[in-house]
Amino acid sequence: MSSVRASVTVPIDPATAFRVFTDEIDAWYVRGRHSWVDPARAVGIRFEDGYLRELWSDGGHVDTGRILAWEPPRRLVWADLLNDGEMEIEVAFSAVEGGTEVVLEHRGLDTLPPDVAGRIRRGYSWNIALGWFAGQWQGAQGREAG
Amino acid sequence: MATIDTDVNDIDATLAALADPTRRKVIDLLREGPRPAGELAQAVQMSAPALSRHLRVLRASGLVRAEAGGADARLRLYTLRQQPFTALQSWLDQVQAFWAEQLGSFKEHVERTR
Repeated sequence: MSSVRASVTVPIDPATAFRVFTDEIDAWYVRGRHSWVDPARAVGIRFEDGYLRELWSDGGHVDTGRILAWEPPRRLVWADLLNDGEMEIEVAFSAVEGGTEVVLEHRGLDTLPPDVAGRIRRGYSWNIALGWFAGQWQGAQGREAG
Repeated sequence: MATIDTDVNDIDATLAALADPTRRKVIDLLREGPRPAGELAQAVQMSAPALSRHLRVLRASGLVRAEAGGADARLRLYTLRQQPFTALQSWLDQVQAFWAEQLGSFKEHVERTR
């Protein structure tokens, strides 16, 4: 529960998949409500100089991730630089029949500090609550009485 | 991706309520079924007045609801509610959905250009 996963299979070999994922991220990255640090200025996204970088219309940028592992064609890991805590995103590329399976794992959601978003300041720990929640939620499901 | 700030208000209350070990114990007990307050106090080895403070927090967070049990507060029947658990789950689901959408777009890009 402290991590989430998403995966997709693409009809190209792992080396190509790695290259398209990284070199062409600006072409496929979804421009959505939660896609940017600064939606008003953001014009693009790029892996460069060891960072995942959001580029701005005024020539500035913000680094949203720091590359921890760059291992084509197999694996790519970056650390989230936007949220306090120790979140990591790992993308693994494996050859499967018909192409490459790309598995993305976003880890460390339970390391977000209590004041995530600057609004939670009551001194409890996400770690404890989310960790407990992880073990309990499935069991609690289906017991709703009203 | 942007900072994680999606609707933390409800989740805030849920996590605050879950941050206390006594309250987590109460939730554990209620997972087995509804129980009167007096029985919960006994199970967590606390006086009824001491526990009632925690039960108030749990009710306010919406994690549990209480049914009137006549004049005696110890007989009020406590029941687990699903909604706050669902809210916490849905926050995690949103992070998952963000990446699923990005990977879906990556796949479309590959298929469009190769």
